Amino acid sequence: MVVVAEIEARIRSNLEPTSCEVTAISEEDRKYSVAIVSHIFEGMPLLKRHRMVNDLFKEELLSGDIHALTIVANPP
Amino acid sequence: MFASRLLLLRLTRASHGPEKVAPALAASIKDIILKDRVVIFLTGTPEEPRCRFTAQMVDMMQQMGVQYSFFNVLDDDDVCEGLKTYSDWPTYPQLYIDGELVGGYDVCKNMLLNGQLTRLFQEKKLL
Repeated sequence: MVVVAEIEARIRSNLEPTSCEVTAISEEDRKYSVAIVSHIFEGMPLLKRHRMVNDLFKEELLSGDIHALTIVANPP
Repeated sequence: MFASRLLLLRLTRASHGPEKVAPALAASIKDIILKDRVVIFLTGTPEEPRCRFTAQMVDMMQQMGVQYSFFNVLDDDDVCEGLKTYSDWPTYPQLYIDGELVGGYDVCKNMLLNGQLTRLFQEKKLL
């Protein structure tokens, strides 16, 4: 079982966000929403930003512990 | 920023998706991706989407007036699991134009909102 706090902690320790907001769209359906602002995303195409975030949760997404991750990823 | 650069390198190096898939399956997946100029891998069909994001992707394409072919990943477990590795993209739906992954629903929605998606289809003469 994945928890919001774990998702947020992993984002914070990997992407150095200036802001990070994680919400469970539906805990039961394992759908989460993340909104991240980080310098890392400067000049980075949208697909790559999303892929970078997805990669942090690759195991959970493949195993189904996370069914869907709704991502907003922007530079400051 | 040193840690960030290491992270970027690691993540960039990690994305050699197609090579990690068995050759026969990779060939099948490539055939599907190239069977039309616009191909969307859905969970379900446009008429019977099995997931909200698939339904929203279908709605988006309809509103934009885009013609596309689709593949229902629920019909083929091997393709369903293999494509996640092939594309280095872990969720469905997935939109391809001329054989290239555009992204999942989130990416497409964001691109629609900032005008990039319409521009992309127009540049490709698909709209």
